[in-house]
Amino acid sequence: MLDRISDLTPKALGGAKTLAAGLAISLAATTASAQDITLRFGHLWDDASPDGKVIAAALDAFAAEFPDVEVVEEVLSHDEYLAQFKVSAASGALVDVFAVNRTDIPSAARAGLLRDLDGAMETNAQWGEALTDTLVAEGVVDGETYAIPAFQIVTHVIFYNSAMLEAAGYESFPDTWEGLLSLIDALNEKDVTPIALGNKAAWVAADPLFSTLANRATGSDWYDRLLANEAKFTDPEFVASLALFEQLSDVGAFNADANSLDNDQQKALFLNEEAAMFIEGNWAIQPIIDGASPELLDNVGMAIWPSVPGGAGAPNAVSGGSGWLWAANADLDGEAAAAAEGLIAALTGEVAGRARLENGLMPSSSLQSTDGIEVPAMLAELSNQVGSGELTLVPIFVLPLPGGVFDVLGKGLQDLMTDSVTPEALAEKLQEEYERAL
Amino acid sequence: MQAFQPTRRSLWALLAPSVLVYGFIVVVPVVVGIWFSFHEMRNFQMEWAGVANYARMAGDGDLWFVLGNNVTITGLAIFFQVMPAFFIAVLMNRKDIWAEKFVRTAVFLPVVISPVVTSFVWILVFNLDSGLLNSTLAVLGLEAWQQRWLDDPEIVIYSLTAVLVWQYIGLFVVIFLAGLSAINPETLEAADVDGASFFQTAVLVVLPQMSRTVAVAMVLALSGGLKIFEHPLVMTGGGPGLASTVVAQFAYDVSFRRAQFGYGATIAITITVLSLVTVLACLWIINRLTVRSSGETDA
Repeated sequence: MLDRISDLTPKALGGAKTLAAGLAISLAATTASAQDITLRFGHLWDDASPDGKVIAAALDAFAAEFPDVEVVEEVLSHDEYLAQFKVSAASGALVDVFAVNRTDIPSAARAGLLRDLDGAMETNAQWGEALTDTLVAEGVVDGETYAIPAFQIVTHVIFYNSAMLEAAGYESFPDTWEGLLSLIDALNEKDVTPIALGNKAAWVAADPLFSTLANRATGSDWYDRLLANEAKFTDPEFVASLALFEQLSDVGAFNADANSLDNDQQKALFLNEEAAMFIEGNWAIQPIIDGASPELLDNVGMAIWPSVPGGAGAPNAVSGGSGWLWAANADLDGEAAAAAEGLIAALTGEVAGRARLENGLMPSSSLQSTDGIEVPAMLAELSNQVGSGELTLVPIFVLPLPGGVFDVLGKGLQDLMTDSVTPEALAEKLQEEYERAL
Repeated sequence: MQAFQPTRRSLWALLAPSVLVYGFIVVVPVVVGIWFSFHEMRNFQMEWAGVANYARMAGDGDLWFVLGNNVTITGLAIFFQVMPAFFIAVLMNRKDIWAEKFVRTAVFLPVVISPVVTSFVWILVFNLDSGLLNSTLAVLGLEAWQQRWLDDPEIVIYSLTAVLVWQYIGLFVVIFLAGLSAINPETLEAADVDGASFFQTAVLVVLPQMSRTVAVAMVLALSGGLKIFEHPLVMTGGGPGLASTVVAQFAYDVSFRRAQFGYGATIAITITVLSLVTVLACLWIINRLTVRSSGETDA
């Protein structure tokens, strides 16, 4: 909430020595309109992370435009932030400007906790022109815009070691599901882990692997009908997508300790050339560049799931979007509200966008100029493929759905990998959880 | 000098700070939790749900599964912590034990280390490829015994229990050592003179004199097993699936990952009541046994 300190008068300093009082009077006189507003700003990216560096650049740009406003950052780790957001939202104690996960936006907007940004959308050229409709839609609830995409991510990229594939007899990445299964067999015969997986926190399988795989099997139409409550998780096309994931596990696609490692460890397996592939989003590009040997870096290729037998999905679809958006507290008004909108504009503006590219990340909006920015070749390739339509972005499967579905799917995919549940039983459990939240 | 004569008012004044703190950190959350359990959150707002959460809980197979994990951990912890700790304590109570202080320190040290730290250490021990356990088995030519200690749903709960036993056995050893110091040494000397073996002395001489200490240890092990949270969270995240999820983490996930605060509170309140009833029942049974055994001794 806002803290106003304009009441700093000599009276408030009663009893102070003359010199100090005089100093305070002069300070009060000069700062009546300066440092007048304090915005509490909550997010989940520390200073050392690439996203944290982007935020630091955006805050500098904001400070230049709004010298009167002090921004107080409140940073938590990912899981803590997700939990804290829910507690703050439930108790009506959200900070002024904050990152909000896509999955929490409908509930928060309908509870009247988020500032309606429709007016700002109309006046801010950056948002109106440079953001793609698909991204903007993530912050729209019942026709009103409540949040602005923080960035753009592609959450499914298969990073592969082409030298290992060649050694297994594959000159290029397979373009059919059967071909992929054969490749997995060939790699296993050579005692190489086909796909390094670090799924301890359950989101790696649920998003980078499953979001796009589900779309391959079900197609986007089924997904839209699911969101409209006209389709069910128990429909054969979705059960088929779970069966495909189970099949991958059954043929030995993953390391045996996949559910006790994290995503940094899956990258390490790939970088140490103990695994031929790993699957994450575009955010993994910079760590690969930083961690791979020059020889390995030359051999890193990027691919996506091939089409699947009988699948209704487009073979060029990849999961992506924003996932995290910026929003403001609905309680703000007047200058504070304008400042909050200014802060969100800075976080999604040209300076932040350039900083994202410089840090190996994708901005949420198109930039006026990329002159002088050295974009990593892999990121440029991916961005171009998305920009040119060679790859089509489809929603990150779980994000528009209630949080309970994400949780059940994450645990359920782990269960599928250990044969503790069947695809049909997991589908029923997901449907039950979904209906509970409707 | 006149002794302080407390009045009713001064007693209340002295008690007030602790009563207030207790009320704030125990009574208020429990009352709020009970209120939450009759509500459910929709769009971040609480709506009256009656007993729906309790009805849902009764049919929630996942909840009963994770409660089973707690029961497994608790049962194994009581068996493998309390019993070995008793014999270790009796052994360490002998004055002729080698490097007594070092052994005491070594046994107790894990107790004072943060569970998060020990969990990270044991993640390294249980690592499939390069972990200390599987590597040692390989060196000993026991490759067939190598396991996916944290990834096999049939094994993971036992791996976690082993860590708990390792970490907290020292606490029970210290409790038993304290109890041993209150035992009449003449009974031990008499047993020694009569030629009793170590096992006979421990079971037939020491144990009957320490029934209350054993009761305290068992209740501590019981409550420790029911409230376990950090170890599974850090070591496995509760996985694979729900294989190593315990009730406390399940309630946390339901509340903070699914934003179902009402149902999460229902689980928490129910488990609190269940724990309380279990511990009280244990105390009652142990008291009865103790009374009977002392009655028999008197007779």
